[in-house]
Amino acid sequence: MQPAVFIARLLGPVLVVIGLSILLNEQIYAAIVMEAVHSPTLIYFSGLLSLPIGIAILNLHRAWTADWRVVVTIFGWLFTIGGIVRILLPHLTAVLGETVFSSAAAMPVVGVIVLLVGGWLCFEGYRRAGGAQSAKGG
Amino acid sequence: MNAVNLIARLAGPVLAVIGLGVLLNRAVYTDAIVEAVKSTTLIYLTGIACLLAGVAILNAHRAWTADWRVLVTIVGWLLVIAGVMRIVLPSVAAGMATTVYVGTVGLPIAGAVALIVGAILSVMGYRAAGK
Repeated sequence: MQPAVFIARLLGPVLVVIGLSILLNEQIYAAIVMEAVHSPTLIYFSGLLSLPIGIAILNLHRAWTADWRVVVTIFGWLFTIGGIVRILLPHLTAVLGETVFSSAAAMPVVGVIVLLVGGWLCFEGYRRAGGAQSAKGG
Repeated sequence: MNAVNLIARLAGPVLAVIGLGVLLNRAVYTDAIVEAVKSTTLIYLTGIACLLAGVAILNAHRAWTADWRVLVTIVGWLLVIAGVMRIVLPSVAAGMATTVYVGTVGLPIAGAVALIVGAILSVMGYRAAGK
């Protein structure tokens, strides 16, 4: 299986669940963001989670192709940059988080985007029949 | 790519960014430690994360060679020991963190060590061109 397909199989369902959860529990997520931006510990840990995932994705797949695989590359860079910003610039992260999510429309917009991108990655990752044994399908 | 290079490619940049982050934001990271040691949940969760990462590293690479690769083994063992400590002896872990890091030079020293080790691992991991 190509690395991009494998990453899509992991990332796709996670994004779908997060996107759905944001849409179903908007107020809880707004509370999570507000709590997180006031806690240096939570900003640090989320950066610590984000950075290795981003670097791992980019080590496996890092190509600007004109197809769905570019989404994997973009996510790799977003996780990497997001992780670096959270660890290096926690104050900026707090301000950015508060600013972006202060608008009432921000949370549902993010939820819909995450759900759509996750759904797309799931489709592309899993539409090839079989599991790990089906290398030729990739 | 062999396992030790892949681990260096992942752990190197992460350690370097953490080290730089600690050196640039000492007050923020002191607050983070003070906040973290008050929460048994956070100590437990970081313990699980440390232990898993450490066991994964040692399963992929565990050799005491006389070159940079030994850093990977050391990081693996430190993560395992830190993970076990946090899960089995959370109050000791909290006490140690406060004693070592809060209001002492422990934090910038740890930041500098993380930055240097991270830089070595990044250079060694990525200097072989391509994947």
